Amino acid sequence: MSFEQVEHTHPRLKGFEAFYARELEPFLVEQEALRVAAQSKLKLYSLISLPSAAFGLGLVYLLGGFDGGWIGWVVAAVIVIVTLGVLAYATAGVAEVKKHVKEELMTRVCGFLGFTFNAEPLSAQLEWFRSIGLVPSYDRKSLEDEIDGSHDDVHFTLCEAHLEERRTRRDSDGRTETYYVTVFRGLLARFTFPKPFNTRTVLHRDGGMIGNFFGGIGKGGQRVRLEDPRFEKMFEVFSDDQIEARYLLTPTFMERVVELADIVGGRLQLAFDSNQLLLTVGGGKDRFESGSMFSRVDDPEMVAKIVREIGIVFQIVESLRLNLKTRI
Amino acid sequence: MEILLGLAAVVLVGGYAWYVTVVSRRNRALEALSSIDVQLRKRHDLIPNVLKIAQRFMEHEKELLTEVTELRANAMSDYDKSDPAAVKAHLDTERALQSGMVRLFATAEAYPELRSAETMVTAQQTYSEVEGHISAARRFYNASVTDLNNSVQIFPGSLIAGFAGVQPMPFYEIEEAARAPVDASDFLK
Repeated sequence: MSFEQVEHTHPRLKGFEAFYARELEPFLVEQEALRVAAQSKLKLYSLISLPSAAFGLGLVYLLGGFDGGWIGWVVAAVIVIVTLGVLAYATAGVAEVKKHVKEELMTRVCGFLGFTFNAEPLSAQLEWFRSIGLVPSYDRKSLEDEIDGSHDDVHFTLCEAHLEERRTRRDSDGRTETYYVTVFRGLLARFTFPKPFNTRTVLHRDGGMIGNFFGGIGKGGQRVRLEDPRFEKMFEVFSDDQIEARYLLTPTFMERVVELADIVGGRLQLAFDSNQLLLTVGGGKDRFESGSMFSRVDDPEMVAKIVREIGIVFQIVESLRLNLKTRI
Repeated sequence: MEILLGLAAVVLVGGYAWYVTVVSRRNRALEALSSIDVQLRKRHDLIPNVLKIAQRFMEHEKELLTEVTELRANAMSDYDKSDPAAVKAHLDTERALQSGMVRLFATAEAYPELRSAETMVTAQQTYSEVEGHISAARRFYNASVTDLNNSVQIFPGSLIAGFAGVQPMPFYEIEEAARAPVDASDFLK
């Protein structure tokens, strides 16, 4: 997708092509040169360290270092550790360039749109999402890429979250092994909501008849059954107040939520709480990334992809008409 | 003999479960009706303010203003919530009142001074907000009535409901005028 096409995806992106040429391209070209240099260094270190390590280990083997005693094993361990250290040092150079490019690119693109970017958000908001049940319980968390700003007078904050749960298993020797499984990876977002409300209403993904029965246990509030069959097929609504839930979820708003679920394509869940609309989009997609370690950083398509991903904010605000003063 | 006893037990337990369902749904519908009344009270409280503002500008609309005043008085009178006919009459009066208010606001559009009066604008915004809550309460009530009527009207629910003295309840439907699309040309002259 060319930047001319990107500009046409939303009025707020008007002038992005010129911005790219003026602000982003020179920076990315410069960073690409640094990445290539770091990558060459990695190649060189690999070419020296890996054969050297193989030679060293082979020598230890030929000299009978593994046949008895511990000296051979210690030497082998030192060779492996030194080799891994050299490779880690050389890899860090490439990773550092990629990290710098991503942060600077996000900061500049967000700045163009009037938003602010924070690579390492505070985790205080996460507990809010968890207490409402929009994300599951977790033992390990990682938050990144927080974007904060306003669109059409609707203030928003969004970030990416990766949540993992700790599990243990026993192998055949009876040893206990701890490992982590991903329980949520996706976007967390909150928006100011035009209607005032006092209670909490949560829209969980529909889990089918059995899933809803067991899933409903422990969820706060009463189940709210609504008239829109498409909406009911997608979501299971719980609220502290049957009437306020319907005040917020008008037939028109339900249609918009269904449309948004189609657009974002992930596992969309919403909640109305403390005069804010909270929203999660699960589905495992890692957004706002500048590609793999060995991909070019001056690829215009990578920039276009990031811009399109930030555009989810416009899609949410405009699909749900959060900017409507009529509060319908 | 044991089979007959077993069958009788199943019928008794099933009948009792249905009875519990019917009564709890009736109670839920009554609770929803009370919720509507809470929201309707907000409308009733707001109407005198709207009429007071309108009276200052709409001298030629006395008939309409009087009609709305009378409809409000009727709507505020007590009724028996356990009598479906009384509930229907009450909801019909509210429907007529809503229709009267729609006509009042539509007529007010012909009075530019009234339309632009700050108090009227605020009153209209508040009224829209209240109507939003009434609409939500109406949807909750109608959903509860659907559940109740299904359990009361489907056999053997009709027998059990007759035994328990539970009757179907009327839906709260809105006036066609309030549902009809607005002709923008009327207001853009």
